[in-house]
Amino acid sequence: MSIQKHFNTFHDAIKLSKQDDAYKTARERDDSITNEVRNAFKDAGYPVIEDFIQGSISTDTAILKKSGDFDIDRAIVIDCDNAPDNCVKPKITLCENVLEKRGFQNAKIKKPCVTADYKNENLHIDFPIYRKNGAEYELAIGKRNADESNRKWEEADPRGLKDWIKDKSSYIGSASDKLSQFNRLVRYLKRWRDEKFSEGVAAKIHSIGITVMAKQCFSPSFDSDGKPDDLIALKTTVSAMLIHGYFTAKANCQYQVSVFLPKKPWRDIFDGSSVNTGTQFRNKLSTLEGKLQDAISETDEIEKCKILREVFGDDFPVPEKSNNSASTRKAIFSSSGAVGTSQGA
Amino acid sequence: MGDENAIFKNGGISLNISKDALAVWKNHRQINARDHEKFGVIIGSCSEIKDEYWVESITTPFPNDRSTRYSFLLRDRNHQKAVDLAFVESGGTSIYLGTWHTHPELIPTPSLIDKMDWLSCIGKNPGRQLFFVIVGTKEIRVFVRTSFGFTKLIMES
Repeated sequence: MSIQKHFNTFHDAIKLSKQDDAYKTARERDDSITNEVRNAFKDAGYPVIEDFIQGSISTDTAILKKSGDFDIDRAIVIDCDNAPDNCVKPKITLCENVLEKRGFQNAKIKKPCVTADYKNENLHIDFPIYRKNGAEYELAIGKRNADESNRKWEEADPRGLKDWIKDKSSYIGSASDKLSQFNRLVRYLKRWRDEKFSEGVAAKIHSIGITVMAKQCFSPSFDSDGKPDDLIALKTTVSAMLIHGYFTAKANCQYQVSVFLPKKPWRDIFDGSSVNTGTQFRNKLSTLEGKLQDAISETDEIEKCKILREVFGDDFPVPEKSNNSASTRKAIFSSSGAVGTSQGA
Repeated sequence: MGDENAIFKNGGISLNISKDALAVWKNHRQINARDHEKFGVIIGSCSEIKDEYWVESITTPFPNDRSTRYSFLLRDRNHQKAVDLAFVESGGTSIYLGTWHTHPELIPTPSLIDKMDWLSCIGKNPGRQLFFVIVGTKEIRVFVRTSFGFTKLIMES
């Protein structure tokens, strides 16, 4: 039995997709708030001209969190001509006229978005607000009481970023299979992060950072029959991430991490991140690389799975030994065999 | 017959038959005087170095097959479908491993028609090790083709 079968089981256990029932319930909540946002913004004189889902759900790289929490990123877009110069104003409208009225005690205006938590349903919604001028988007940056120097409409390209992550034009042959493998790799790396870092540090290893690194370093792997080999692909991708230049060595074996957005505003995703975050990220990624190599070198299927469970946590399956010998490496054939007709007497 | 796995060996090859397959064979024995022959295909896998084989599942007669007390004709496409499904679901490790059928005799021996058919099965699957099982009313016999013709595997006690 190939190790890919176990990766597939692991992937099924951690993936969150638009089709999942849990996500559908979350979307119903989100849709009802979005309708109220539309009404409130219309009343305030800057009607919503479009809204869309951004973030990992829209790029097929979302995972189920171990805590069971759901995140939704709902972009709200208003027309540039109607948008107030003070970009925090629509954020206050959303917070006070929609979320607080609906009873969200903890609605918060953060620098890049407004956040709302459905505590009872483990649902967390982020609302980034954009103004749109032609095809150009600008994101409302600034906290509630930010003065003029700390708030701005900053150029952004949310749809461009989404397209960049989902782009498969550079993949030669079976591009869709390669993109699917990339999506799986991102999910594995996100679960690895949630498993291996303390909650505080994990929150600073931003998912979009992992996604951009994996996209730039992605090294697909398929066998001669065209079947995916996620273990090899992940190992070579992680190795490339380590030497790509994201980690800058500092004094005392410490590292600073920096990954730039591949689209506007081209900022460093890890801007302001500490050397502690960078050092932990780099060192744990290096440990991951070693463990993946160990798993590749290990010939016993059960031992292989044990190494991978250590890396990814309990959702990675470890088969039990049995006398029909699931532990023996089995031959893989290119065809099922021909039955035809048969007779006997 | 049927309580636990059975292992059959010959030279460098062993065939491990699951207890589920053994139970099906036990239930399909031609014990009554009017029982027709029962038959099907064997689906299983093998180790990378091709010294150990496992019978994972077997098919039983489908509507378009035919049989009498002393003969059978396996022709329903569902046998091939079952093989193809196992192949896909296993990721390419589970394949067609041969055929089985019953004989209304205590210790079964293959007829000339059986052997001709087995040669035809081997011809359709070049390079593959195939196993042919005959289920008697008392014993099960497993045959493979060797340079001496068809030879039975010895059951490990």
